[in-house]
Amino acid sequence: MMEDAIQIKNLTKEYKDFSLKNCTLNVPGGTILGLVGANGAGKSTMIQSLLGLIKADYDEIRILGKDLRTEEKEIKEDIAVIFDVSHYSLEYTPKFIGKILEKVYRNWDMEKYNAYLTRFGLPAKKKLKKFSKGMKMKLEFAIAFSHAPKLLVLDEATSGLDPIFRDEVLDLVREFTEDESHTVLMSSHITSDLDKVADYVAFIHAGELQFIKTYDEIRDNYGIIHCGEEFFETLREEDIVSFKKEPYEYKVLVKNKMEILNVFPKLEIEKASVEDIMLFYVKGEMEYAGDH
Amino acid sequence: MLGIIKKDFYDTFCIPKNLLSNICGYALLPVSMLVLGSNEWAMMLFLIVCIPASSIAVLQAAMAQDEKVRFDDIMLTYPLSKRKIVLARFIDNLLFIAINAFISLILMLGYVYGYRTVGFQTGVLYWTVGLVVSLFMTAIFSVGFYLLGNKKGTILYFVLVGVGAGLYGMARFLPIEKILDMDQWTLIGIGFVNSVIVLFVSYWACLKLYTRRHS
Repeated sequence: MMEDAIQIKNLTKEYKDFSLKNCTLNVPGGTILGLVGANGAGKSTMIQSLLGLIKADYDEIRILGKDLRTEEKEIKEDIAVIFDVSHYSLEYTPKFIGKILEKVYRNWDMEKYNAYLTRFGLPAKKKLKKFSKGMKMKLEFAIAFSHAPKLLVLDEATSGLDPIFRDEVLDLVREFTEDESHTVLMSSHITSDLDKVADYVAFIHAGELQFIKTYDEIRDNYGIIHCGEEFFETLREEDIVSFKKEPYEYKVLVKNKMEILNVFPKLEIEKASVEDIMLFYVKGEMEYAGDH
Repeated sequence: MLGIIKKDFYDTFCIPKNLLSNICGYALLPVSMLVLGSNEWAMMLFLIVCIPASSIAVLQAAMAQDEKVRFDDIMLTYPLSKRKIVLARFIDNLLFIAINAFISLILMLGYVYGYRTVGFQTGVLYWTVGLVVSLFMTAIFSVGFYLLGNKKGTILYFVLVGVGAGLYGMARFLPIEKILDMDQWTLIGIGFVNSVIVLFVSYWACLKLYTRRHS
């Protein structure tokens, strides 16, 4: 078992109108963690805090085994971050960006960078203003992969991309994690992307981390039951995560799918996607502290 | 740090709009020199005001580009401390002052040996005053840009002109005769030492402002 790539203990960030509250999270090395939540839930605040981009309070943050307080520079040598938009001037060429970054990263590999530019079909001497959004995103990946990072952080990197290109991006993420020492932290509100690649899902809502679970756990244990009030009353409280009362039925998100099926073998339990779970947590009528 | 310095100089001299503005600025100097002739006032204007006033050009060009694309967001993910990022910008300006000092030296020699406006020693004196003014301007305007950003940074310029005018008005209450009685090189020495001190204070203030903006 690999050690945790990210360890966060009691991370708090206070703003006037929003706060991220006591988030504690461990991300095992060699995995893909999907960080989900609505816009403004605190995903970017969490990422910015753990990258040291904003000042936050915490007991401890360790990334790739190093302490963020004392080894930030060393940590950043091993991290690549991709945002939803490129932050390079449209007047730059990929070639010039390579020249900047070879002076920034100790491990910058210009040959690898040029190989990625060729692989992605990106002209090295063309200015970014002539690039499409997809080309700019490919360039971000070429940059990210050229300094041998061990942790790839994607902050809403797939938003605004068409489905075909999003799929290409997910392939690149998968390819990156073929090396078991590589870890990915991927925040997105497009939960279908995470359904495709994530090993773990962490859900954040209103500045609070609601849960972190393996994707398999979600697939195997979570489900949605459509039922009437009578059947709803027979369900055990500890099996219910949340429910929605609709005009003619109850929609119930349950977390012990297999146990319920043992009791009610003929019951139809719908598969719950990450999006379903997110919606139930945000809009459902009941939550159990024990599930946090 | 070298990567950031490289980027900033690219922003200043390789982006067409900025390149054109720099070419025009530098081309204007010899043209103005020819038009105005062997005029000591013009010489002082170039060496002590015009050239030092452009000392902040690299920071301004870099900030303008950075603000457009929010380059800070990605730069802060680089293995660079905020201290080094701010220091890189000060090194940018000092390198640019060195380039300007070279151009200024050529102009000064033109006035001394071409127009014979002043003697060599006076020429060097004006050139040195220009250097000291450049350091002061870099120190003050850097704080302005870090405090207000690229667009509002120019507002500070006007504020400082106002402050300068106020100080000029107050000068009659100061023991100005005593100051002017001092040896000119001693005055420049004091000015230089003060400009270096102000530059250090400015770096510290810029670092605080940059850290506050990204916290």
